[in-house]
Amino acid sequence: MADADADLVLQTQKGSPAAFEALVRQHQRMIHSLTFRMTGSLADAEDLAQETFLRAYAQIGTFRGTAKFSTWLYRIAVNTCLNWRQSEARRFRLQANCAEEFSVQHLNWETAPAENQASQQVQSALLKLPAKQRAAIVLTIYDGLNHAEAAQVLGCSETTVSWRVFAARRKLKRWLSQTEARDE
Amino acid sequence: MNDFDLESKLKSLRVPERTEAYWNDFTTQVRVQLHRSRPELPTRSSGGLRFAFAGCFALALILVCFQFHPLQTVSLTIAKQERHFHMQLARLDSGLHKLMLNTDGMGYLLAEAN
Repeated sequence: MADADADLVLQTQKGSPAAFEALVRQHQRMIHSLTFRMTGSLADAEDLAQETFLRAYAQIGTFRGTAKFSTWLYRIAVNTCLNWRQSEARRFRLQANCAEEFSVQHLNWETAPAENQASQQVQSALLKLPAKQRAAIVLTIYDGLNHAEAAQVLGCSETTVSWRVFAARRKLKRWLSQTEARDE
Repeated sequence: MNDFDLESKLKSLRVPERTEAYWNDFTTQVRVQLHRSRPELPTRSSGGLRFAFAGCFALALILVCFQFHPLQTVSLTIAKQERHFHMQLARLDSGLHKLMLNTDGMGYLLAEAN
C-alpha cells in the first residue's frame, strides 16, 4: 500500500471522514473509468462508482493492508459491477442506444467522427462479452494489471484469468473483424 | 485481426473527460451519501467482539437445550427409580436376615409389615 494511502486508511479506520474523502479524491478517476468500461453508460458508471466508495467505507474496518488499497478498491468495484444486474430488456435498450449515447458523450471530445465510430464499435463489442470476461479485459488491457494482479482483484486463479482473457480476445477479434468487413 | 490490432482498437476506446468541477461534485455526493446512510464504521475489534458474542450465545443455547431436552428428563426419572430400587433391595436384604435368624420369621415379618 502506498504510504499516503496507508495513512489515510488508518485515519479512516479510526473514524475520520475527511481522510476517506481524500481517498475518494485520489481514486475516483480510476474507479470511474473501470465502471464506465464495465457498463458503457456514464450514468450507471457514476452510480456504480459511488456505490463502490460507500461499500469501501462500510468495509474499511476489514482492510488489513496485506494488499494494496487500490487492489482492494478495484475488487469492490468489480464485484459491484458484476452484481449490477440489468434486465434483458434494459441490456438490449442499452446496446441499441449505445450509438446515440456515444454521440452525445463525445460532443465535448472534439474527436473525428471516424474515431467516434470506432469507440462506439469497441464499446458495443465489450458490452456483448459476459461480465466476467469483460472484467478480465478491462483490468488487463485498460488498467494494465498482469494476470496475477487481475486474479487477486477478481478473486479467482491466474489460470482462470488467462482463460477469460483468451476467450474474450477471441470473441472480440471475431466481432470487430465482422464490423470492419461490414463497414468496407 | 492479430493481437496488436486488437489491442490498439480496444485502446481507442476512451473514457469521456470530466471537468474538475465534476470530480469535486462527485466527492461531495459521496460525502452526502455517507452522511445520509451513516454506516456504522466497522472497527478492527468489532469482528472479535461479534465472534465472542456469537460463541457465548451458542454455548448458552446448547446448555438450555441440554437442560430441557426430553432425554434429560427421562434419565432423571430412571436415576430416581434406580435409587428407590436400591433402597428396597437393602430393606429386603435386612428382612431376609431377620427371617433367617427367627424361626417364626415369616410371622414376624408379616406382623412387622402390618
